[in-house]
Amino acid sequence: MSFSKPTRLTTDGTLKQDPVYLTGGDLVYTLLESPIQMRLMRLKAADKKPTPLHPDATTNEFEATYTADGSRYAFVQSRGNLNMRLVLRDAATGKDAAFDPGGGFAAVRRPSFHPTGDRVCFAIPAAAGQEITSIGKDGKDRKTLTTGGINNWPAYSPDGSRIAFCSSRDGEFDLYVMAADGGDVKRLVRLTGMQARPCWSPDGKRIAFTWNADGRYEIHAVNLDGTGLVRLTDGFERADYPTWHPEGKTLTFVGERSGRFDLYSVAGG
Amino acid sequence: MLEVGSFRAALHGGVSRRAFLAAGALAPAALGLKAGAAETPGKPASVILLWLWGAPSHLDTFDPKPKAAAEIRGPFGTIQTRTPGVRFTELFPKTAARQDQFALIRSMVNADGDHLKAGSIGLTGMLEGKTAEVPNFGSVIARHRGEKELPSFMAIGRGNPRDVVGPVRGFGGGNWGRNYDPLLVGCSDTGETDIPALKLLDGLSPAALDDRRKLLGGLDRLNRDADRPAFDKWDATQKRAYSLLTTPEARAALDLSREKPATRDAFGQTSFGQSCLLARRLVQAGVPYVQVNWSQYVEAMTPNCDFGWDTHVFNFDLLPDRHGPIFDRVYAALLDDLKDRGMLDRTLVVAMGEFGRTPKINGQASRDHWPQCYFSMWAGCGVRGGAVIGDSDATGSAPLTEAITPGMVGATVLQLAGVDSQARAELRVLPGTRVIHELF
Repeated sequence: MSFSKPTRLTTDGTLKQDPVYLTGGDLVYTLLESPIQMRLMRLKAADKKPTPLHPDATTNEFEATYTADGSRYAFVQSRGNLNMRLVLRDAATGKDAAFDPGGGFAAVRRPSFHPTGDRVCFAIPAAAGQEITSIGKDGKDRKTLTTGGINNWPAYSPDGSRIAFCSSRDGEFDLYVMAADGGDVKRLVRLTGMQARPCWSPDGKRIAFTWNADGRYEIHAVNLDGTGLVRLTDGFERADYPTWHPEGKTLTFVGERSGRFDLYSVAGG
Repeated sequence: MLEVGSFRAALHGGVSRRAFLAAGALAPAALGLKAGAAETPGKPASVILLWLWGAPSHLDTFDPKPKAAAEIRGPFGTIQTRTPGVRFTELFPKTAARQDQFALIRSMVNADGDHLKAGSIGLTGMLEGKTAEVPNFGSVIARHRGEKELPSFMAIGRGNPRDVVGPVRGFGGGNWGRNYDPLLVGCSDTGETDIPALKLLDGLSPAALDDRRKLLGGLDRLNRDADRPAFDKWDATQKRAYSLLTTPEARAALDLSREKPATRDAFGQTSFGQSCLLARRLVQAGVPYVQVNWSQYVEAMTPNCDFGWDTHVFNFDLLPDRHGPIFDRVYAALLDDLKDRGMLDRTLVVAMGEFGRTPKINGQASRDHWPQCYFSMWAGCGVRGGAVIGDSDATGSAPLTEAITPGMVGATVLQLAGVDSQARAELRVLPGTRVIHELF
């Protein structure tokens, strides 16, 4: 099988994760800026220079997700000892809403903004397992979408009607798709090895995801009916955190090469 | 004289044997050790301790329970290791491929479930460590061997293991005094080294301190700036630090840029990776005991903390995200590097945290503290590669075999490092413990 030659987008090699595209082609990703600081960075399409999204942030911020028009975004913010909340921010005004999971050891992670900006879904621990939950843009109106198992990495489809996610409900982390209200759950593929971090192609027809196949994280893509499974990355020690370019022609991910972590793009499969 | 004891130890696969310790002797033959593996005469071993502060889950790493109920086993698959019948979780493929090079103990037990207390016990092997100032294994070696050109006990990481209230008891010399504390070396993800003790030196201008960000490159100026009267006021730690840096061999050992790029790449651009490479260089230069700290703080995800293994929340996200892949890469690289250089025969590599994590998944879809059962990993110095020592029950809740304690860890580490039973008795450390002879 031939693979498209990857294009390297960053060169610092520092630990990074969770890139996401904005409509105009800029990338926002999480960087381990120092041993104690995870910072959201913005890589502008025009000059390819990374700059802090929130230069004044003094605590860990990570896992950004944007509405389709980029007018609002959400991210996870470390608040206290093993306590993380979800911040929902208006990009123009900087005005925040938030979802606070409570005091003590409590956290949310892996948010995904509905393309219209009406809701955000995310992973949150439950009494038994870990749920996918959604809230309104004001941080209220919480709805639980899954039950049973460890559920993680939810991602709204481009039209907002479905959510891709991974779950251990059948034993280990596998790839599923469900309706946005939590119904009609379907396991997409049956693979051995952890599947994680699904993301949708802009046309909503394919899902890229990380698959720990044979001990190596590689990016794969599959059709919604489970057919057409292809591997998109090759030659990396680890390829992870896929995100599709808004135009669909390329897919960007974090690639580990020679022990360094940078953003790369390949043809979108 | 030490105790005479007997015990049962079930090896993985159900093979049992009875072994006896000879009082006071602990000779290789009596222990069933390979010649030159553990006891003097012969050059004592150097030791690298990979201290996994915060406590990794044993079930999600090296003692998975794939047949247990969902609330126990977790969401990760398991993979076969080089040893038939021994499986790890899928997060550690490189480590699994090298299981023939290290022994795994699955029946560790600590006496306390608090990080600071258990950490102190884990680093000293002594139960008193949780309330009293008793010496770290490295401090014992330092006292036994005495100070040479290079410090006998060095610790690498962002800082000594600590929690918000300060360094954990047992991080250093304890009631023996600061002379036996580790000399701490910081190491960044890009391999820049830093010696915090020098930040306290009198007579150094802020400019000189700033220059120390490029520590090795700035040493000549540092030398000129430090006058003798100021030097006389420095404490032992500072003098050791300064002396270290005026020794060409030491300066070279601290300079990771002297390594081939391919070697540095193999360890990866993470602080833990470059710290482990630095540990190998220090051992190569003659440092007998190096403790590499995974992190300074236990906490996995907390403001101003540096991602320890204390995964009370989102354990199943953090492990595949960063902890698993980083450890897997670095541990494999360290073993390969030591083996390729012919150093593994005389270097003991031990990896462990202060305890394990709860077999039953908690209300935060994660795991809490579990001192009743955890793991440690041993490589080099005659340790039987591929061995699995002890066994845990079906849920990883408790050992099915004799509990292996931090005291036994200490006795074994010290024995290999040349601090034999008589020396330990004279130093009044680790009484009533035994060497883990099953490792050899």
